[in-house]
Amino acid sequence: MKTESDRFQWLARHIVPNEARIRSWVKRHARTLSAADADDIVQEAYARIWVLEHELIQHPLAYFATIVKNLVAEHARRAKIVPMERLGEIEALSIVSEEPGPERHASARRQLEELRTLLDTLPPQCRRAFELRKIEGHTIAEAARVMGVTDSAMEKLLARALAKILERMSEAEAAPEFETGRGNDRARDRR
Amino acid sequence: MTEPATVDNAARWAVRLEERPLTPAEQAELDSWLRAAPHHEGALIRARAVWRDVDRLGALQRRGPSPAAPRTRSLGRWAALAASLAAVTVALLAYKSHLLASEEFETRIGEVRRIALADGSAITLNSDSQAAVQFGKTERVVRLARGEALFEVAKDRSRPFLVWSGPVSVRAVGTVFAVRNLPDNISVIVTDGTVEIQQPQAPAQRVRVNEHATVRPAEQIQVAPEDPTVATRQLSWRSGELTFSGESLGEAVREMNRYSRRQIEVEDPDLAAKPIVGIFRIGDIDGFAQAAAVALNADVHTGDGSVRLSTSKHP
Repeated sequence: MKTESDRFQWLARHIVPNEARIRSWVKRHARTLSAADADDIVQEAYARIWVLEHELIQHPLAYFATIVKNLVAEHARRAKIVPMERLGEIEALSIVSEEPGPERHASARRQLEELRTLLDTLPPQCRRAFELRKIEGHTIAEAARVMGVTDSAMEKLLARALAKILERMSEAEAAPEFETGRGNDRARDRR
Repeated sequence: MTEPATVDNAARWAVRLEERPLTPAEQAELDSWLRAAPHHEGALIRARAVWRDVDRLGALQRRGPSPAAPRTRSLGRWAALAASLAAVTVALLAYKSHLLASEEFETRIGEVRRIALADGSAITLNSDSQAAVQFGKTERVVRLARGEALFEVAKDRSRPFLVWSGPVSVRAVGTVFAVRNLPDNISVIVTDGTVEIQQPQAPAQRVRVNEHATVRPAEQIQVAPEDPTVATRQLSWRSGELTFSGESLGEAVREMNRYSRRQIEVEDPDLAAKPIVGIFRIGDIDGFAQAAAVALNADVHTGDGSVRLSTSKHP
């Protein structure tokens, strides 16, 4: 992973699709953590994994989960509020999440549904800008011409759409079936 | 939730950074924003990664959950796009003219890349593939030199879309199809619309939606119906995943190995013949080997350049 672009691609591929699972774990196991603190922890985890040599990380999500776990533990030590004995459970989460299975597919579909629903709530111009650039794959310049706006207005529309998505992701949680069931047992058998 | 200003600023900088180089003034502004609070950096990294991730969902949307419903939707979208493009033909003609020169695209092992073309079509190149794109006034030509690619062709009756793979050409107007260049044959799967396959000194062969054609040199083209769910599965690499549904471990391993320098080896033929089911991330050799080992009662031996699977001695 040499270029910066590759490195963001790596995050997009391994971490972003699983953010909801990480967040729901944090919510369940560190209930007293405020939403703002949970956000800070997730963001900090992105910053920490960003600087690492991604090629050497064999199980990206497990690694990310460990970083989050450590950050929650750090936070708990400072604030003395999180029941520490439960932190070990994140290990189960990380392995289950790496487990291939139909639920991963369902998760991508669900994310797509959520994205569609979210796009419906955007102002029409904002939504159209986002679709032209990200769904249909046009460049900003092309999309700006199609919509008859300047490139800079196009950037603003796109930034507004992205901000909405980021906010929505902060509120999202994985459905509970992601973290229970057969995958769990198989993961334990293997260890 | 983080205060809205952080999210808004992170989104604004992410879009700029992802789309174009910053001006020196912007760079200075960004630096001072990053210094203003320690959590800004993480917020920006996350925003940029999410911006990338949306492309994966975009690809999923284009593939659609079932063959019938999304097809009309995507055709509607193409039509709307064509109409809006007509209004700006002049501007786009200027843009397109530089595409008359051939543009080359290549993917490394483990890389899957979607390339949006100026006419609204898109090529998704699978791992270790190479394609050259040349758009003229009367034809849109793509040469697939190596590997596999999926083509989503925007309708343009005046300029057919031609994909060359060796001596074989596949001709389309507005459709979705995949071409794979294998050592002894060329495989074409059509998931939307119709294409025409032309081999030297042979009549053209039509291949329709949900059909799979196999082209071998100096042989008649074989066309067989393809279950849409099978086609979707075979093209699941587009979203960075491989889906197996009862293929033999041997076949699944061959597919997994296409995306990785580290290779999986299966020691005994009985094991290689066992069926495997699951969805795997491309490139995740270790995850695949572990899942296969659990499912098929095998042992995993991890070496430097390879991962070996053998039947477990301890059932």
